[in-house]
Amino acid sequence: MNKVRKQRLRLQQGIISIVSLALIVFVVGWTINTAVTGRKNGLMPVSAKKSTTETSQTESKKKTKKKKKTDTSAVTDTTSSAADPQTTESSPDTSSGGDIFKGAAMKDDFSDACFIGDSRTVGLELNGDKAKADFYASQGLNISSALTEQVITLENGNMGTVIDGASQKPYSRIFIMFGINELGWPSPETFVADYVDLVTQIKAVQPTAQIYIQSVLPVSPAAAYENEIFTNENIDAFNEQYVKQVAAQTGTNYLEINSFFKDETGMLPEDAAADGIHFTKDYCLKWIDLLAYLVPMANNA
Amino acid sequence: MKMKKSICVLAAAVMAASMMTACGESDSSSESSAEPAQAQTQDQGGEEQAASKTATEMADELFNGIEYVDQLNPLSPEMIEKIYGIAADKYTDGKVYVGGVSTAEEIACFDAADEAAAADIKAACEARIAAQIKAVEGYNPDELPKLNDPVLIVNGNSVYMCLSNDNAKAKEIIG
Repeated sequence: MNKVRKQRLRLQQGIISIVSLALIVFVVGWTINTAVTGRKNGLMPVSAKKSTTETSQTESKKKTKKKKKTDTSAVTDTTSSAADPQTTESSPDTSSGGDIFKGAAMKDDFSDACFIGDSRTVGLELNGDKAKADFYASQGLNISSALTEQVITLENGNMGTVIDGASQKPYSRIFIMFGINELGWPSPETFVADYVDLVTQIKAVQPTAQIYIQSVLPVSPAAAYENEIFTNENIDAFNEQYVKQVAAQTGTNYLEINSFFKDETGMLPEDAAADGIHFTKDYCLKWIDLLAYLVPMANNA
Repeated sequence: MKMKKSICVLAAAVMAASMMTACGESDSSSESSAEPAQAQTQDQGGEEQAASKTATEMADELFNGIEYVDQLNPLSPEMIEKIYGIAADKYTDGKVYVGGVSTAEEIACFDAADEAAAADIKAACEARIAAQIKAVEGYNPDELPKLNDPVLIVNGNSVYMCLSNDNAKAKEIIG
């Protein structure tokens, strides 16, 4: 009987000890946590409140494994046959799991490159994390105003056109994108003619540079609410009929990048652009990764 | 046995101590409210409050304390120099948040290296605002109000800029 009591007592003491230890650990943990993060926030750090944008990038990096494979099928080289562009583009792996280009821009600072375009290119400058690249772009710019409007602050402090900007120093790679602001133009022929004019002038000031004409990027359904012209059907047709034609006529490279950003429904995902058109940081980084993957710096050095 | 007893005693002591601290109120606002005589120096207190925060803390507070339409992201020092023209040697601490181009929302906070640097940083912020006005006026005029009435405050050698839809809240945070 005494033995049973002793055993029960030991068991009770053991339980109390474990609970006490757990309590000590909890209180010490809580004290350290509140000392570091502040009492009001308890166990939740302040930074956790709005950290989704900062962490999403690292999270997404963990999601996909990179395949070591060079797929430059999205680049159509029209330099060999200016009149008849190669239209054989094997469709890229556009599923979200197919981001084989993820991280490609880490090894490419784009210091040999410049970008010319409209507000979407402005967004790339802000969120693409390429401080050494030059951007000659402005909000609301279209292919006609790009030829004449002095919207670029030049290195000498004066204002100039995008062509003036691009002529300031030699570049190996020049990426151009226009088209979203011209989607509803009654005369797409004017778009083609002005685009050809722009590329011709850039070729004149940068004779050794490789010029890449990027296809117009897709939009999310939110863009169509703003203006019914912003549909992916219109963009796809515009790319196929007009943007590609510019590359063919000027003998430059056509970069089919549009399809890399579409989801399974054929749209730009809702979270890719706050207004349906201008890419968020995550998608700007994806864009710059894709360019680095398709047209690596080393190839042009 | 002695070991177990000491653990129990220690646990009780820790628990009692934690209970006492839980009952306390160390919030600075309640402390100040307990001393109304100091209310006359409220503005000064606000400045002191701002000065006690680093530029990064201020930028984070403006980021967390205000609702933004756009998704804002921090810029690297290299990008700050590229976009604002402010070299890293001009400030001891700084943080800038930018969005895409769908809004003009932006946060820029700097602790300048000295008074002259603070003036340069303020001028750079003003130039950035002027450039943004030019960029959006024909393209996205809905964003003009926040650019025409920006929160741009210099407090000692610190410069705080906040372009948002809630200037009152921004000023409250900056103090």
